[in-house]
Amino acid sequence: MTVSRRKFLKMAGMTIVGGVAVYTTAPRVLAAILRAEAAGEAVAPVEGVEHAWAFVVDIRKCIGCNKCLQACKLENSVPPAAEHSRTWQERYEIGEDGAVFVDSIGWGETGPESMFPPTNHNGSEPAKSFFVPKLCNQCDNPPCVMVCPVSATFKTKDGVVLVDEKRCIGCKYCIQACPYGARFLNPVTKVADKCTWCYQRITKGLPPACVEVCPVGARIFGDLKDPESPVRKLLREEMTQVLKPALGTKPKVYYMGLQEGVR
Amino acid sequence: MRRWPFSKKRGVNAGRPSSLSPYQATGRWNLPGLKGLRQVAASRVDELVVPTRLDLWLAVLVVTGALGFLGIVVGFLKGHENVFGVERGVPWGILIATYMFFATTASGLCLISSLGHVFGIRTFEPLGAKAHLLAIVSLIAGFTAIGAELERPWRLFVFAALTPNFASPIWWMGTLYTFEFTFQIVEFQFLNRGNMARRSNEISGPARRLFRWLALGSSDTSTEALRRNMRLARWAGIGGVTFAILATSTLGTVFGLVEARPWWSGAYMPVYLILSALVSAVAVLGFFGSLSYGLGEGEITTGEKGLMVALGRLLPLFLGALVLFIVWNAIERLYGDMPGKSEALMLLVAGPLSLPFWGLEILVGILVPFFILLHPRTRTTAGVGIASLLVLIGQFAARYDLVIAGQLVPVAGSMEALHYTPSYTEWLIVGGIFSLCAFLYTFADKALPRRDIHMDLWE
Repeated sequence: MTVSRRKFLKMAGMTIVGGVAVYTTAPRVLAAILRAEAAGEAVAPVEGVEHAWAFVVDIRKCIGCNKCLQACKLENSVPPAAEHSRTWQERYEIGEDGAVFVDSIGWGETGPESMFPPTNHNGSEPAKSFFVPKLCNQCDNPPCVMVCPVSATFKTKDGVVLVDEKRCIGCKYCIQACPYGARFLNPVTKVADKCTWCYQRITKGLPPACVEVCPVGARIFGDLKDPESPVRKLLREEMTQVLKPALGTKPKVYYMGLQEGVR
Repeated sequence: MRRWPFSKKRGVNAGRPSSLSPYQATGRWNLPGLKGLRQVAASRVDELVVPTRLDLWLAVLVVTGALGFLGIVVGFLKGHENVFGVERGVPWGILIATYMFFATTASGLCLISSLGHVFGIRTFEPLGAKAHLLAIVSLIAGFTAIGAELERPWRLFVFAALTPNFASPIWWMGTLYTFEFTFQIVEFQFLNRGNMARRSNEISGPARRLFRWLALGSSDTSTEALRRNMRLARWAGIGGVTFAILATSTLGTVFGLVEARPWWSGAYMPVYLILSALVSAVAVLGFFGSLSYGLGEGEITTGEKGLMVALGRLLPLFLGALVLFIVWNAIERLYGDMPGKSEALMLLVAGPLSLPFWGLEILVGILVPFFILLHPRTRTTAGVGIASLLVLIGQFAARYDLVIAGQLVPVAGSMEALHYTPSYTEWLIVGGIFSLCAFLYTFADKALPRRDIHMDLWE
C-alpha cells in the first residue's frame, strides 16, 4: 500500500485539527453535561450572566415585626395560613444555662397578622434573645433541584431557584431535601412553593418586597456584579456566615451576627 | 380440541381423588363466590342461599376497598393538607410508609420466589406462579399508595418521560420499579401459561375464552411447551431479580441521599431495605403458605412441607440479621450525640414513636416471632403462619418508624420535635389498599392451582 506525500500530509493535518478540536471541546461538553445533570440546568458562573444576586440579613437589626412576611404574602399571593410562608422569622431565646428555645410566627400556630407573644423562657428571663429571618437561600448547589424527578424545579441562569407549577407532580421530595425548611406545598396550586426573592421584581430592578418593607434595614439585597451594590460592600467588609455550611449547598443568603446554635 | 398427553403420561392428579380437578382440590373455600351472589339475586326470599364465608369475605373487602377509594377521592377533592395528618414539617405520612412496605415486600417476593425456578434451589420450587402473583399484587398496592399520596400523579407519566432528571433518586426508583413490574408480569405469564392452558382445556363457556387468553392463546400443555415456557420465565426472572435489587436499593437512596435529614442520610438505607425486603417477603410466603397448606384441602406434600421448614428457618435467620442492622445503626446514630441523628433515635427509643418502635417493630415484629420459630414445638406450619403475620405487622411499623422519625426532628422553625398522627382518611386509604391486595389475591387463588403444572416435570 502506498500513500502519496500529499495525501499523507492532508490526513495528518486533518487528524491534528480534529484532535485539537475534540481535545478542546470535549471537556467543556462533558463538564456542561455533568453540571446540567448535577443541577438540572447549567450552572452559569458569575461572569457571563447579567446578575449575581445576593441577600444579606443583619440579625442584630431585626425587631421581629413580621412586616416582611405580610409583604411577601401580598406581593406573591401566598395563602394566608402561617404554615404557608415563603419567609418567616424565628425567635431564639437562650437561657443562662445555654438552653435554646425557638418559636416562630411563620411556622407557629398563630396567624400572619399576629405578633410574637411574650414568652417566659423556662420561667426565667432569657440571657439572650434575637430574631432570625429565614427565606430561601437560593443555593448555588441546590439539593431541591437535584432531587426533583421531573425537573420541575430549576435554577435560572442568574442563580434563582424557581418551580414550574405546570410540571410539579407534588411528590414533596424537594421539601424533604431542603435543609432550611424553605419549601412547602401550596394548598391552592397543590404544588411545591418557595421564596423566589420576588423574581418578578428583581428582574425589573426592584428589590424583593420583604427588603422594601423592612423598617430597620435588616434585609439587604443586591447584585454582586454592580460595584455600587451595598451587598457587595457588606460581603467584602463585614463578617458574614451562611446557614449549615457543612452540607455544601453554598447558600446565597449571608447572615451578620449569626449566633452558634441557630438551625 | 382437548389434549391431555401430559396428565395422561405423568398423572397430574396422582395422589388425589380422581373426581376432583386440581382446582377444586386447591380452593380454600370450595364455594360459589360470584355465582352465589347471582343466585341470591335471582332467588325468592324463601329460597335465599345462605351467604358463604367467601361471599362475606368478599363483601368485607369490597366495603373496605370502597372506603379506601372514597378516602383517595376525598384527599384529592379537599386537599391532602386538610384531610391527611401531614404538614409542612412532616410532608410524608403513612401512605409513603405503606408504599415502602409494599414495594420492598414485592422485591423480596421476587427474589425469594425466584430461588427455585431461576437459581435452581429445589426447596423453593413449590413457590411458583402464585408467589410471583403476590409480588405483582404487592407492587400494584404500592403504586396505589404512592398515587394517592402524590398531589398531581397524572403528570408523573408525562414529565418523567419528557423532562427526566437523572440526578433524582425518585426518577430512578420509579423507572426501576416500572422495569421490575414489567419483568414480573412477563415472568408470571410464562410461569402460569401451562396452568391457564390446562384450565382452558378443562372447562367450557365464556370462562374458557378468558383462560385461553390468559394462556396467551395457547392450549398446549405438552412437556416441550412447558419447558419452553419455563425457559422464557427464567430469562424474565433474571431481569426481575436484577431490577428488584436495583429498585429496592434505589428506594433506599431516596432516603439515603437526603442530607437535610440526618436520620435518613447515608449508605445504610439501601442495604437495610434489601434485608427488610427479604424479611417481609419470607413472612408473606410463610403466612400464605401456612394458610393454603394448613387450611387448604388435601394433604401437605413433601415438597410443600420442605418449603415451610425452609421458610421457618430463613425467617429467624433474617430477623437475627435485622437485629444486627438495627443495633449497629442505633449505635452509629447515638455515638457522639450528633445533632439530628441522636434526636431522631431518642424519638423512637423514648419519645412519641416508642410504642410503634418497641411495641410493634421490635417486640411483635422481631422478638416474639423469633422465639416462636426458635422452638421446634412451635415451629409448625401454623406457628410459621402466626410468626409470619407478626413479622409483617412489625415490618409495616418499621417502615412507618423510618419515614416518620426522619421528619419529626425539625430542620427549621423549632427546637422541639414535630408531631404526626395519621388521620382517619389516611387509615381508610391504607385499609383500602390492604383490601385491594386481599381482593386480587382471593380471585387469583381461585384461578391458580396450588401446584404449578410444570412441577410435575421435576418429579
